[in-house]
Parts: sequence; C-alpha cells; structure tokens
Amino acid sequence: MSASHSAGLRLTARSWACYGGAVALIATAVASRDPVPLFGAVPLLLSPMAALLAVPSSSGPVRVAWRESGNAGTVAIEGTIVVPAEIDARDLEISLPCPPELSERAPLHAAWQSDGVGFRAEWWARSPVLVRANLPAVEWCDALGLAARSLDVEGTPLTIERYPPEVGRLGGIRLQRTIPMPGESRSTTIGDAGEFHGVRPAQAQDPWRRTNWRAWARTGTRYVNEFSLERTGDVLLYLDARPTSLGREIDREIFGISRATAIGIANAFLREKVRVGLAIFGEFVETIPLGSGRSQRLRLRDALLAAQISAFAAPAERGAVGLRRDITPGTTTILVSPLADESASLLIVHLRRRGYPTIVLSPSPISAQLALTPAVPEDRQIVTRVARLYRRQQIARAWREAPVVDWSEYWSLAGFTAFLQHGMYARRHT
Amino acid sequence: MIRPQRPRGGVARAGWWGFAATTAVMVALGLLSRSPGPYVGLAVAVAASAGALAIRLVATEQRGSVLFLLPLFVAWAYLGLAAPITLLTEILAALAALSGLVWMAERSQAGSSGLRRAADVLPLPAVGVAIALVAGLLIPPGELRVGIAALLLVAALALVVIVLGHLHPAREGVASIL
Repeated sequence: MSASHSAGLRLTARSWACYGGAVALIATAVASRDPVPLFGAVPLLLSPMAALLAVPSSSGPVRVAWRESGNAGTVAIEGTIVVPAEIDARDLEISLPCPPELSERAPLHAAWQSDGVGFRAEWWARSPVLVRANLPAVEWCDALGLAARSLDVEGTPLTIERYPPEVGRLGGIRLQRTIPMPGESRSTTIGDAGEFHGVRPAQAQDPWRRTNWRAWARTGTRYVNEFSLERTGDVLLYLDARPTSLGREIDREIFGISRATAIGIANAFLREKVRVGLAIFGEFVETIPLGSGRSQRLRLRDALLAAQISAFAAPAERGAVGLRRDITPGTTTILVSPLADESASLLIVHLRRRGYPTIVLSPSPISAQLALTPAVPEDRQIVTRVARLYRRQQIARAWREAPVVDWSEYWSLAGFTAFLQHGMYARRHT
Repeated sequence: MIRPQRPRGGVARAGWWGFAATTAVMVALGLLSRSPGPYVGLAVAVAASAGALAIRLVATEQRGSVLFLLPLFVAWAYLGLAAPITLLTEILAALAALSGLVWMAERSQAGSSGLRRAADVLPLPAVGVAIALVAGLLIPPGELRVGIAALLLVAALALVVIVLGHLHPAREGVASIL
C-alpha cells in the first residue's frame, strides 16, 4: 500500500478573483464617493474566509479500490473512493492523470454518493505497454470552489500490461534444455504425464486412467502411477536499453514496447513453471537470476517498470561478460533490440561466443521514424522505402549471428511464436 | 490531467438557478439606474449575465469557473454607480454579489446541488452584508469615511477569522493562509 501525501489547504484561483473583484469595487466606491459598490464587495471579501472555516477537521486518508480491464489496446479503469466519516464524499474532486504512454479515450466520469465516489475512465494504448498508473488525486473543495485541500490517498497503484495476445501461446513451447547435454538431469517434479516415476496409494481425487492395475491386483490396494514432469528449457529475456542513433524519443517508444513484450513472454513461460531470468543492458548489465513462480513474476515486473533507456551506450562486450555472473550459459536467450546500430549486432556476437543461444526479437522503429517525416506524400514514400531497405540490411547482418524476427506489427507476435514452435530452438519431439 | 465531467459538460456547467437569481437581482438593480437611464442599466445587467453564462458554457471548466466573474464585476461596479444611493440599492448590490456566490456554487464537478452546499458557506458573507448595511445606515454617504469604515470592517472580520483559526487548530491551514 502506498499513500500520496496531502499538500495542505489552499485558496483556489476563484478566491483570488473574488478578492480582486472586491478590491476593484472598493476602489470604485472610494473614487466615486458612492457606497453602493461597497455592498457588493463585502460578500466577495468574506466568502473565501467562510470557505476556509468550512474545511473539515483533519481526517484519515481516503481509500481507493480500483482495477483495470479491457483487451488489446483498450484500458478501462473502474474504481471506488471510500471516504472517512468526517468528509462528505460529495465535496470531493477527483483527478486521474493519464500516463504519458497511454491516451485518453473517454474522460473521467465520477458518480458521487454520500459515502464514496465511483469513477471510471477509458484509456487507449497505441502499442504494447507496461505502465504503472498512479493513484487518483483527491481534493476536498468547499461549496463555492474557493478553498481546496488535498487528501491523503491510500491504495495500490495500478499496473497496466498490454501485449500481443499470441504471447499466451508461448508457454506451451518446449524449449531446449539449459544444460549442455539434454537428458542428463532428471526433473524432480512429479505430475500427470511424462516419464514413469513410480506408484503410490490412490487418493479419492485420482482419476481411474492413472490406476496401476497390476499393483492393485497384487496388493489388493488401489495404486496410481506417478510421472516425472518434463521440464522445458530456461529462458533469459535480454533487453538492450542502450541509446541508439534513432534518437531519444524513438528509443523510449521502442523500449516501452520491448518492456511490455518482455513481461508478456515472461508471464507465458512462468505459467508453465519455466524458469525465467531478465537482463537489462544499459550502461551495465542488470540481471534478475533465473527463477519461477509468482514472486519471480513480480520481481520481473518491478524491474521492467523501473527500467529506462540509459544515458550512455556501453560497449557490446560488457553486455555478455557481465551476464555470466548470474545466468548459466546455455540458457535460451531472447534478445529484444531494435538493431538500430552495429553495436546491437556485436552484442549478439558476444552473447553467442559466451554460450548463450540467442533469438532476436527486433521491434521495427520504422513506424516511429515515419511519424517524424514530412507530410508530403512523395517524400514520405521515399523515406519509407529507404528506411525499409536499411532495416532489411541490418537484419540480414544480424542473421549471420542469430535468427532474427522482424517485428513491425506491434499487436501481433505470430511470427515470433511460429519461429519458437518450429525453429531451431524448439525441442524436437521424437 | 483529466477532470471529472458529466456527459453533457457544457449544459451541466451553466448553473441555471444561479444564473436566474443573479440575472433577476441585476435586472432589478438596472431598473433603478438613474443615469443615463434604466434601459441602459437593464441592458448592462442582461448583457453581463448573458456574457457570464456564455463563458461558463463555452470555456473549459477550470477557466470558465473564474472568467465568468469578470463581466459580473464590471456590471456590479457600473450598476452600483448608476443607481441612486438608497437603502434599496445597497441591499440589491449586496444581493447581487450573494446571488453571484450561489452561481459559483453550481459546479459540474461537485457531487451535489450547489444550492444545498452553498448553505454551509453563505451565512458568513450574509452576516457581513447585514453588518455593512447597519454601518451604512449610520455613516453618511459620500464621505471619505465610508472607505475607511469599510477597510476597518474587513480588517475586523479578518481578525475574527484568524482568532477562530487559532481557536480551532483542527482546521489546519486557516491561520497560516491568512
């Protein structure tokens, strides 16, 4: 739980307008030696003071319970603000900042009741996004809108994750094992399918199809078979967070998409009990060692939320050298990089040399680049063509070192999913 | 930042009850105008009300809630000067400002009716007006002492608020702002 602290009591612009109007009326009255405008000035002078006197006594924080829903780019926010007994909820004003990565589709709509305020808003994500929405700001405001007081807000910031739906299919893919010689280690996880492990006395919920009939016949007690679950290979998600020649703005946009995709891929594999690690290479390599489970998911999410494009571009070799401290060589590595510079291709070389089989998922920066080109159609066509040719050349260069999936349609990862299912890094079924 | 809005933002922002009350009082004050005549006063009253309403309807919530006061201030000053100095015009001038406050209370962002909520804040200005009226009756009009008396009155009321703020520390910030 986190809380935003109140900024205290303040007079609004309306109050100062009232004071200004009152001063003007008083000046008019004095200049013209006419007392009538003075009587108009008196309520204006007194109303801000009256508003300050109506401020509720100090109270506990207001509590926000909210959630997000929607699919693809749609983000629907719904929530309730519960207020302490000392405050009338109808005196509250709410403002909800739309994160810069999203755009507002429908304005905030609030429904006031005496004990709380319900609110909803609708945002829209142009591309895959991982962003944390801050708590709404809640302000008490007097009846005339002359005095306002920020209230402490308690609640959990909302994490919004939007990534291509095909990512959900990744978890079922059986990757190559991380260990150098597949089959040398046995899984310790017991489950419903896989290699035969042993028998145990049956329990009520065990299905009949797992019954070991021979053991039942010999012992007179029902036994069921147990199997050693097959474990797929570990996955390392590697994000290149170094600044490129594309410029700060495009770098930030592409990196935002990379972060969202990374959490999507991590979620898909973690659901299947796969160990997933994370490396973010900016000036140095920051890693989260391989792990699985819900806590690992939260660790990855928090690290990705905090990740930013670094100020300096480190040499590519550092990105591979620093990795060996935490990540076992042989781990299937998914490098997410726009491959904008030669340095990115060098990074692939160093990763492979140090024993990390790498697949490159490369978000195409062309659409972001085109947004900056002039609106003249002829120029735009030429720029598009040149950008595509240059991009093709970069990808071809990177392909010499590792397979590259060019990702230009951000809401679809069909190409990447298909590559993992049928490509060289999927485990062959015999 | 997005602010709470109702689906039909412009109409909700108008504040029809406040508009009606303010217009009625200003028209009454305009009809009492002495020079150049009641028709000019009437025109000024209607034009100022219509202007304020238009600003509330057209401008954004944040800007409109402040800017709509400007035509009202101008009209109050003009009508106050144009009207003769009588007890009735003084009362109407004060009522015009009070009705303006009621109009201010009608905000689309607020969760309930402005009139109901204004009842918490309006008594103090109303009492101030009553004191001013009593003082106005006792002080001869057209004297410099009028201004001095008004300043003294405001200073005394500010002092009362400061004292109240210190007496009730739970109402934090009141004393510090003043």
